[in-house]
Amino acid sequence: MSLMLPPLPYALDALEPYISRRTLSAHHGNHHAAYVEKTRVLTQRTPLESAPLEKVVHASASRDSDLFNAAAQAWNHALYWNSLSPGGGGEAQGSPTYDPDRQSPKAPSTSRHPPS
Amino acid sequence: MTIELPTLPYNFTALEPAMSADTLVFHLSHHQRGDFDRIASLIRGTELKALPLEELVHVAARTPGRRTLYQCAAETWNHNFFWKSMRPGGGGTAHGLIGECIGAHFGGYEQFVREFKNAAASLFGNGWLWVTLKDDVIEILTTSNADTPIVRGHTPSLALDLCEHAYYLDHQNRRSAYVTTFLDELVDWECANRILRKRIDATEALATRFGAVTSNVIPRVRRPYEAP
Repeated sequence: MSLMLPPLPYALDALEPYISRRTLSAHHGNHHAAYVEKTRVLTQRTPLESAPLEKVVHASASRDSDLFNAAAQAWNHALYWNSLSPGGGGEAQGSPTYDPDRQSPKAPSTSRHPPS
Repeated sequence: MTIELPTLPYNFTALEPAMSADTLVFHLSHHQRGDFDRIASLIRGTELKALPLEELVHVAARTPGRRTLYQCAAETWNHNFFWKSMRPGGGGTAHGLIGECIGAHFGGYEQFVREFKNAAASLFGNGWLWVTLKDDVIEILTTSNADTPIVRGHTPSLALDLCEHAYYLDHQNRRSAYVTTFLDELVDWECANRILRKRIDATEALATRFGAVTSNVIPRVRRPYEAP
C-alpha cells in the first residue's frame, strides 16, 4: 500500500476565524501533500515502499536526510491536524488528572513533573 | 552599540509589483527588527557592544555559548546583504564582470539559472542561497536557517533569502516563482560587480607588490554541491 495524504479531520473552514480556509487549504493541500508525495517517490522500489509512515521515519533517521525530512514532516503534520479542533482551546481537560492522593495503577507516569 | 538599526536602500514600495510593500514592511520591520532587538539585549553591558556587526558575527561564531547571538547577528548581516542584492528595475541577464564569470564558468547564463533554481529548490526548510567567491572559485551554495558563509571564508557576491517569510505573502508556497521573480525583476548585478571588482583589484595590488604572476584573475567556478 502506498502512502496517502490523510484527509483533514474537519472541514477546511471549520477552524475559522482562527485559522482561515486559505491557510488550511495551502498548508494541507500544498505543503503536507508535497511531503507525502516526496516520501512516496523516495521510497518507490525500495524495501520501504509499503512500510507505514512511522517506520519510514525511524528507518531514515540519521541515514537519508531527504527522505527523513519529508517523512518526518508528513508524520508531524498528520499529528498536528489532530491537535486542533473546531471550538478547541482553553484549559486542558479529561482524565486521568494527576491527583497525588488518589494514584491509581492506571495513572500515567508523571516523571516529568514529579510532586514536590 | 555600534550596530545600526536595519534600513532598506530603497523605499518600501520601490520593488513593487515584483516584491510587495507588505512583504518588505513585515520582513524588515518585524522579522529583521526582531533579530536586531535580540542582539541589543544579548550584548548590552558586555565588551561585545563595541564591535561592528561583521566582527560580531565572527566572534559569536567561535565563542562557545554564544549560539543565539551568532544566529541573530548572522541573520542581520545576511538580511543587510540581501537588501543590497536587489534594486528597483533590476533583474535580467547578468552583465559586467559577473556576467563574464557566469558565461565562462557555468557555460552561459541559462545554465547558471538552472543551477541557481535547482539549489533553491533543494534547500529543505529555511535558509539562504548565495553566489560566493572563495579562493577565487565562484560558486552557488545554500546555508540553513541563519547560517552565513562569511564564517567559512566565503565572500558573498549575491544573497537570496529563502525563508518563507521572504515570499509567502506574495507567492505562498511557490518558492520557485519567487526565485524566478528575483532573477527576472529584482537582482542587482551591479552589487555583484562591485564586489568582484574589489576582489580583483585587491588581488592585482598584491601581485604588484609581491611580483606574483596573475594571468587569470577572473575567478574559477565550483559547481553547486561539490565538496569544498
